[in-house]
Amino acid sequence: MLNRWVRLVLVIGMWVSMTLLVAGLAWYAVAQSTGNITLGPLQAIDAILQGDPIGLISLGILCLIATPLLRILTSFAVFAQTKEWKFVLVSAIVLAIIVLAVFVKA
Amino acid sequence: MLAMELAFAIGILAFALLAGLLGSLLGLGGGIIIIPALTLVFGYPMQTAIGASLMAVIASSTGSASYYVEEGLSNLRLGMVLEIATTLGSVIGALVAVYTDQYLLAAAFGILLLYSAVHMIRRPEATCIYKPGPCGPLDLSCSYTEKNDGKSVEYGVQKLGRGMFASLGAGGMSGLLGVGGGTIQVPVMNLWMGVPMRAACATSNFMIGVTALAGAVVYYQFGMVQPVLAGIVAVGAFFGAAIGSRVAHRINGEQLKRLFAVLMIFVAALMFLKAAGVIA
Repeated sequence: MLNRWVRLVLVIGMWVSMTLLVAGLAWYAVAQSTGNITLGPLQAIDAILQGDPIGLISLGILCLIATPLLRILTSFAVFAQTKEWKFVLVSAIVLAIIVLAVFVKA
Repeated sequence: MLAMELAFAIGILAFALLAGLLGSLLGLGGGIIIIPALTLVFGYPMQTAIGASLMAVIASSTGSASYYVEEGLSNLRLGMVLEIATTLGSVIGALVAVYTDQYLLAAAFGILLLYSAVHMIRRPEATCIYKPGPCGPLDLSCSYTEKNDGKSVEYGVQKLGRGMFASLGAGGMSGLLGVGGGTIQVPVMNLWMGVPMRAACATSNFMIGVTALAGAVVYYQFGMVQPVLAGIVAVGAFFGAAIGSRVAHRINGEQLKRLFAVLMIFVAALMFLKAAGVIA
């Protein structure tokens, strides 16, 4: 069950992020943009609505980053369902380290 | 001006495709090709190149990991346990890189290239009989089926403590230099921990995405991920790896490895020259 769910998350995540990135880069090639900093999720959506391709590229990058993260969350959920508590703890520690990385600048 | 920018982008895309393709054929993360290309050919600073490379590593490894997971080759439980060490190492490595002079990073990357070249030529493999069954408090034993003869291979995992320690180093290298860390992770799992080579490669591939993610988040926070560059590199590496996995069986891997090892020694020399300030 773990393999099936993990594979599903990886495949969906990959194709969503690749589609967004290819579309964003194609848009950038024809529209151009002056932005050169990766945006957060809300800023990215705002940029897309304002016609800035950097928003779509940023969203693709965020999806790419989120894919392995979702894979850990999925493992956590599957281990919890199968009551493999030691591996629930292992998944939680990996998640905690990544959350730490998010707040490391602050 | 626009035509020049487009040519520049196509050049980067071509290198990323090549990185994904060769990475997939040679069992390497694309970073080892992408970073020298971005710094030496396109003139990007080391930290920007590393930020983009980590995106490529996530893209190519996530793509191939889905295949290995489906085939049952990746030991998911072992991978997740080792990820505790690799993610921690990756965050520490990335933080060090953010505050490190780029010439020092270039020198460190040169050393990594030399190590990888030697490893590629020698590539030792454990010939021991794999011991099935649990070892220690966590049961990390696993099995997979050989595709060519249908035989089931069962193995247990040994020396977890040593493996965790080495994984911390592999993660540190990933965050510091923007590579996957497989050049350390695979031999450690195979030679020390008693994991068969095919399973070690697949498990390392499975882990690389999360390891690179931990470092990438730090680069992202510090604004060192340029969206257009990272996007081009990620797309190129992903499709390059996809092509590579389809043509792998038609290529003489051993000959290609030796040729590439010589090229890596040459690029290492260029990185040392960059570190010394001889070339820009």
